[in-house]
Amino acid sequence: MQADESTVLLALIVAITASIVAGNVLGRRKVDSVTMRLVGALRRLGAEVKATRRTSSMALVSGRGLGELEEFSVLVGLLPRANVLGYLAARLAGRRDLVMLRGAIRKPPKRGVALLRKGTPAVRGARRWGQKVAEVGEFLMVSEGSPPDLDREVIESLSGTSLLLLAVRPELPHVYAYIELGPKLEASLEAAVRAVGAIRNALT
Amino acid sequence: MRRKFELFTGNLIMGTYTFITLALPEGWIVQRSKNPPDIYYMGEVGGRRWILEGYAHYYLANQVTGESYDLLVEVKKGKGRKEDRFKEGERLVSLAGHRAFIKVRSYARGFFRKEPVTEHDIRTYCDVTDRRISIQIASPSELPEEVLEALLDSECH
Repeated sequence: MQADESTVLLALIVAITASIVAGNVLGRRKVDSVTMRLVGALRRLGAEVKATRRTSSMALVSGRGLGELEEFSVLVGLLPRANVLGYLAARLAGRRDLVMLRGAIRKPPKRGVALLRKGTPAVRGARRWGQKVAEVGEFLMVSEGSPPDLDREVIESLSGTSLLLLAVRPELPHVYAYIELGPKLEASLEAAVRAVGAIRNALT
Repeated sequence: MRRKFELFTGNLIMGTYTFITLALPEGWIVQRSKNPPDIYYMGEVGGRRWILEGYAHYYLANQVTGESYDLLVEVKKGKGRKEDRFKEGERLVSLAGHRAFIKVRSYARGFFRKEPVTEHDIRTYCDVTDRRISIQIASPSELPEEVLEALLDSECH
C-alpha cells in the first residue's frame, strides 16, 4: 500500500504536535517533582521559601534564611523536552539538567574561591574564578591569590555528591552552587549549604 | 556600591548610540531581550552619540533572588508640552540633575491567567540632549526602593 503525500504530511504534523505536547507535559511533571523535592529539602534546612515559579523547563524557588545564606534562589533548569531533536542534540553536547543555587551572605569574604568537580563541564569555565588552581580530592580549587586553607572535612563532605561547582566570592551573588539533577540532589544541596560557612571562614 | 549599565545599540557602519546609562545596586544586572531596539533619530551632543528618538526593551534582574523585571526605555526629541506638569499621584525626584516624576500604577497582565503587575514609570526631560526620557519597570514582584534610588543616579547626558 502506498500512502499519498498529503497523508504523510498529515501524519508528520500529528507526530510533531504529539511530541511537543508530550514533551511539555513530561517537562512540567519533572519540574513539579523536582520543585517539590527542593522545597522539602530547603524547609528541612530551615529556609523560609517565599516564592516559586514554574514553567515546563524551569523553576525558580526563592527565599530567606538558608544556613549562612541570608537570601537565596534556586533555579531548576531542565533541557526542554518539547523539541525531541533539540533535546537529543543538547544531551549529546554534554548538557544536563541542573540545579543552580545563588545566595547572599551577611558577611561576605574578602576574596573568592571556587571548587570545581574534576572531569565535568564545570572545569571548562575555571579561568572565570581565578588563575591559581590546586587539586583537592575530587575537586579543583580555583582562586585569585594563594589557595585558602580549607579543612579536609569540608572537601570530604562534598565528595560523593552530585555537586559540580561551589563558589564563594566577595561580589553578589556571594555563593554559587551548581548541582546535577539526580537522586543525590537533597544530600548535595545540604552538603553545599553546610560547606559555605566553613569556606567563608577560611577566606577571611 | 553601584554599577553602571550603558544601554546602547548600533552597528559597524554607523557606530554605537546610547539611550541612557543606568545605575543599579550591586547584585542587579540589565539583560537584553529578544526584541531589538527601535531607533528613529540619532545625534551627537557634547561629543557623545545619543539616541534622540526610539525605544528598547530589556530585563532588569536580581542575581540573588532571580526576580526579573521588564524594563522599557523610551526617548523622544524635544521637551513636549506637558512634560513639566506635575500629574496626580506622581512623586517628584531628581534624575541626573533634572526634574523627574515617578508614577506607580497597578494592573492585571495576561490573557487566561491574569497576574497583578506593578509598573514604575520614571519620566524626565534632559535639556542638555533635548530629549524626553521615560523608564518603565514592570513586574509582579515588588521593586525594592534601593533600585529606584540607584536609578536616579543614571546618566542621560
